[in-house]
Amino acid sequence: MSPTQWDLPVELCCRPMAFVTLTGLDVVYNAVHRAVWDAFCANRRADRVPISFKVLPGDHEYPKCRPKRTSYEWYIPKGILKTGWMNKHLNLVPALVVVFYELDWDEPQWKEKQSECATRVEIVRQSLQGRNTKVAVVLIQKKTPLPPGEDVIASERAAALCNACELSGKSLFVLPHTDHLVGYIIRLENAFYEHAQTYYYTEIRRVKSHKEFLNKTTHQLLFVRHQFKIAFFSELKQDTQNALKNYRTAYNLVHELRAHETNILEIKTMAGFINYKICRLCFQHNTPLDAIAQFRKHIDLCKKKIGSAELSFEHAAWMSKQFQAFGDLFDEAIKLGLTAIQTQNPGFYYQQAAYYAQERKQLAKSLCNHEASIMYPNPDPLETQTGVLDFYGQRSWRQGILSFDLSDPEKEKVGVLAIQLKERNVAHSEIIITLLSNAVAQFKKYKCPRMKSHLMVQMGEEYYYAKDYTKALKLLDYVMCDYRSEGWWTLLTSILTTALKCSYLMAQLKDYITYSLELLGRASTLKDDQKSRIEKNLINVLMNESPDPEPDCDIFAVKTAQKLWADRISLAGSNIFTIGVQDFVPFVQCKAKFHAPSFHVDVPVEFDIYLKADCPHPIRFSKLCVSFNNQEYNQFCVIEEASKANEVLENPTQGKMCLVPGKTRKLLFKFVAKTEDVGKKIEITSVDLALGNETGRCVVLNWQGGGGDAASSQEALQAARSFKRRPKLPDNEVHWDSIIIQASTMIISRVPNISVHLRHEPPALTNEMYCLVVTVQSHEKTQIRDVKLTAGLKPGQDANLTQKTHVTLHGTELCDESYPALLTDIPVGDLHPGEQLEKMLYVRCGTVGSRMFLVYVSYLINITAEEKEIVCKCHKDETVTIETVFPFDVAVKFVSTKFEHLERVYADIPFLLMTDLLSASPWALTVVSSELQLAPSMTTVDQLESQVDNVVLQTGESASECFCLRCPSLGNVEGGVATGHYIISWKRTSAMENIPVIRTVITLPHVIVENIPLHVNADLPSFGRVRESLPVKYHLQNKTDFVQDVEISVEPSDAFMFSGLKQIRLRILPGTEQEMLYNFYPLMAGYQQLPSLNINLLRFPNFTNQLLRRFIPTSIFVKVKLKNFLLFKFKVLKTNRLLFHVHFTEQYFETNSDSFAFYSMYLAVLLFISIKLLFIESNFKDLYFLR
Amino acid sequence: MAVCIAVIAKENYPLYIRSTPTENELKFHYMVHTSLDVVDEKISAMGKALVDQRELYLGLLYPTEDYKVYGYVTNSKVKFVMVVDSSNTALRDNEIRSMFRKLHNSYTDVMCNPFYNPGDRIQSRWALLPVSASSPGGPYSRVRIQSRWALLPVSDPVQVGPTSCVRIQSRWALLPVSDPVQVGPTPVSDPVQGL
Repeated sequence: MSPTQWDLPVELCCRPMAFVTLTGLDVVYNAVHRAVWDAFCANRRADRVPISFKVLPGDHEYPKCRPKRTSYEWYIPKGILKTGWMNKHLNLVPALVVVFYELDWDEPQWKEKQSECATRVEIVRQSLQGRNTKVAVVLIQKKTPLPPGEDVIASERAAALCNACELSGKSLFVLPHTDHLVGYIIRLENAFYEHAQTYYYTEIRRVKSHKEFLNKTTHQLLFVRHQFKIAFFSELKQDTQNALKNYRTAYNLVHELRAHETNILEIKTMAGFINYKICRLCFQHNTPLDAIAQFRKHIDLCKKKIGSAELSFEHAAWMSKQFQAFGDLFDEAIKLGLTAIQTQNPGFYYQQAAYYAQERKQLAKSLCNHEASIMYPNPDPLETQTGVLDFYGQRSWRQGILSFDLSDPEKEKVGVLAIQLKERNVAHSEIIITLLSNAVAQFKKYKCPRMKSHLMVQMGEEYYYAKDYTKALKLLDYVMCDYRSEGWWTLLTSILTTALKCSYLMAQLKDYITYSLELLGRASTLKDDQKSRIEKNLINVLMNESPDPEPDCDIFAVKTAQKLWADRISLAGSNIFTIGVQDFVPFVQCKAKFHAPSFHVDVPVEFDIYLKADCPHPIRFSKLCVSFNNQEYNQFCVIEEASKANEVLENPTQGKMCLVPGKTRKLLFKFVAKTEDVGKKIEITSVDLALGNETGRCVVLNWQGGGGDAASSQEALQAARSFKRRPKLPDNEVHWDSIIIQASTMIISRVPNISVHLRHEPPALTNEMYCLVVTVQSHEKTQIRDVKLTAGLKPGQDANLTQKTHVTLHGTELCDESYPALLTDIPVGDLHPGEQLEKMLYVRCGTVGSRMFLVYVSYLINITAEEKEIVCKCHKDETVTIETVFPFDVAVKFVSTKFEHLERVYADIPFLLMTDLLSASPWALTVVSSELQLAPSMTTVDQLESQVDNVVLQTGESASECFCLRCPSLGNVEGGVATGHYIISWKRTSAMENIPVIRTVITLPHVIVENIPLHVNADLPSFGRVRESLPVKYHLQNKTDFVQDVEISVEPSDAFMFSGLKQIRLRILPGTEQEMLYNFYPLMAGYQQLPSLNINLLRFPNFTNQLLRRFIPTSIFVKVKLKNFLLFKFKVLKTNRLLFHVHFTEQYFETNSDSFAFYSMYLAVLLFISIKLLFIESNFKDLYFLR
Repeated sequence: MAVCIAVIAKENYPLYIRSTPTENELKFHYMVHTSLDVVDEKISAMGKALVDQRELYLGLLYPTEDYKVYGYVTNSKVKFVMVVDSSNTALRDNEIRSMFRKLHNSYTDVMCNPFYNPGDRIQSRWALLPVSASSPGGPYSRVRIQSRWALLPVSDPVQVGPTSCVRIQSRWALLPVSDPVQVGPTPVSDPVQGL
């Protein structure tokens, strides 16, 4: 876009920099000069001093300086600021002119060169006549200069040169053309910069000096001008603080000016310029709040200064520009590191700028609606002689006239007309859209999605006004969903209305239909008459006719649109539009609902489609079809206008096809599910409703799933929350809100009509063939076929269970690892109604624990559903949890021949192995046999035949066996010696004959075998009698390979007298045996300690008597002879009643033994029972010893 | 007085919008809608910290050239937005606060209406609050008295009639319990004060 009247001048917007001209440089032909120039202008980064350089010829003519005014008394200014002034000081009048001259200190022709240089300086001075511009000379030298003070010639010649050129020593520079050019240039620059600052300082002083001549009545404009100039020079001097101060003063002065319709534009223009400068400097000083405050103040002050009403659009344009410029400044500051926030960012300013631009458009539209016959005035009042204005913000046809009265009203009128006609050609929309899109970009950055959407709507509307309907639609369509999802229906309706106009004007069929559908829907807030109009149009479109134009459309655009519509009608082609409704809110609502969450396969699947129209007039639809995930059902669920007497329709009247506004229409569908779909989900994937017919145009509304559009989920939530009681409706009518979509249903198999019973005796015992009797009885009315049984471990349990569970149908043989855990599809045959069959299953469980067993019976049956013969597969399953337990516990222990518990056994010495089998089964067990399999290291002492054959054990009973074993010496074996296995063959007592016997193998524990040096065993009778000799023979066997010295002693005992060696020391040769014979004579009856045999082995101090006691008996039961026995017993009995008799008897026996018989008769009556008991006791003890 | 008053549901759809210059209603709708950007930002900035001590009044949301938009959010995230004329300097922060408090009380009354279903758009014969500048300060008290019943949704007048006597007795007993925050805890929404 070319700069317009309202754009701020470039010289205002740039950063003012000191202007320095370089002369005497031939940058085209001289490489050295070129290099110097490049060093000046290349790489001007922020760290270089702010100077703008320009190369000019030495004789360049600078703008002439006007003669100094000596008095302001009669001077009347014609305006505030000349249009050329800023540019003049930025680009035309230098602060410093530098003369470059090639001259070395040892130049042979020094004199000539010196005078030539002086001439050049003089020429420059001439052209700068009257200006305070500084002049400096730079000598370009080929040689590196010596350090100052060392080169005498140089200092002399420098002084001479200064003299000749009338320069101070500070203005003469030397630029050696050596390697360090850039370094020298930077130093030069800094020196130039100082000169320039001095120049601008003097300029400021000069302007300030005018002030005292001014008076407030006639020179008001000059106050502003001078203040502005001072500020501008301060900026050139890079004194931004003072510049800001002066601009602020200038700003206040501008508003002090007397404003009138004629000069208001000038005042506003200047105020705008100064405001721009202030804001810019505030941002530069990193005080954005000051900038914003100044801008607000500026706007508040200027908002009402509209000026001429006929040109009020100019004010709007100016306002718009102010906001835009501030937005630009703000944005620039952000790019340089300022942080903006959500509520204070450039976007707001662009938005406001756009708002004023819109206002400008409105005003222009109302003010510039001249008739076409009015021609642009000739001569052009806006033309000036120079092509530009002399002063900023003045009218071209009355420049420099300060009077508030219009001297020439006619001229004024023509001027205004010219401006108005020019305004008409401005592309307002373009300006607005640019500003809006700037604002959009900002708001996007500052997390304002709704603001962004709002601006995009405005952009869309602006595109609509600019007749760029495609872009308008694109934008509107983009934001529509935001408003829809948040439920701002008023706003959505307004956007849709615009979009509908756009689509009408472009004759975009699909868009037109879509927007119409939504504008008719419940989300639309349009009035009913509007809705009727849209509905009528929609019906027209569906009948392949042109719709009526939308209201408030441009007449010309409507004409084009009508042509387009006519073309559309004549154009054959695809006239079916499918519109997915999930993204918008159409005027037809749809809900699909299966009657149940699941259907049996022998029952027809039923569901309802509910339809409701929200449009003002009834509307007909031509077709409704429902699609399923299994497309085979689609054919059953179609309603078409043409099809007659569709059987799935309840009452297929034509009225069904008509939707009455506000009424809920219910359509029932029925179909029979396929048997393959048993166990699957039937889902409504979409519902298609066709409006219009295929001969005209057809719109297919497509609901995904079981209906529902963009707004329905929120509505459903509201309905669920509602406490409102719904008024009663007549039967077969329902409340729309109360319908809940159910878009899927399960097809489940037919309910089986058989019974499956399981009979068994839990718990199962480990490893047994557990019998499970399955009874299947048919209760069906017809024969069932193909009955199959699947039985076994229920899948999905612990994998280890599968390994350890085996199922078979044959119980006569034990199953092994190869048998499966689950028997599948065992054909059983057909069953007639009422027939029953029984099947035995045998399960072998290898481990204890509970298991779930599944018995699954499936069969086929022919069924008639909806007059269709279908084969239904039914099944019934039973699960049962069976616990498996150990049938018995086996305990094994090692005991010595004295039945003492053994920690370890001694080599070659017999010991006993005792097994104890304790039944843990709740059912009786039969131990068929048992067997002891000895390890090779063990030998048996006697026969190893089973002692528990065919023993029946009830719960808690036990069966024990005892085997006498011997373990030969094996040396020291780590961990003991294996004993062997104990094998029990058993079965349930209740089990049938043909059920195999289970062999349970028990590994016997290892036993530690120890060698002993001396084995002693005693040979003695099982009991003794009082006062009868009791011969005892001790056998001492040396088990070592050494000769053993043995000390033997016998301790006397109170209960015995004895004969034999009381203490002896003897030697036993290796492997031999020594016998010791003793004759004990018991003195007392009962259990008596034998005189203890003490053996001391001199070689083996560890061999203690303790150990010895394990082998030889330490006590013996001594019986009495009958006479003695009674006597003894009487002593023992402690019954008080008997005590007397006992004493008596004792005495009597002592005195008269003949009378014994009499007394014994007497006592026998009294003590009969006790004595008898004692006999039994003693007999038992005898038995015990015999064993 | 405010030129536009809006009650926005938790889900950010409008429950109630009323503006005085009815001819340019759409502008205010957009203004209220866009102000939700700032409300959202302010709510998320508040975070979950100190729910009890949270200030419900959000202050000035954003200034436009001609209007000032103020925001307020209840504990149940229902937002109130009020647009006032920029030129109206009589309305300071305190006045705005008290207007919001009164609006909140009125809203609580609406919630207390057993026939009002929370989340439904508020359809009131009477403006929820006077948005006109008829008599500064005054209109609230006047409307307060009337608005006790006036705020009832008029969509279903049949229901209002026969049960009106029941309603007076059981005004609190019939409180909807689905939104407990609005009923009890907030001191400003204390229904007894509202009476």
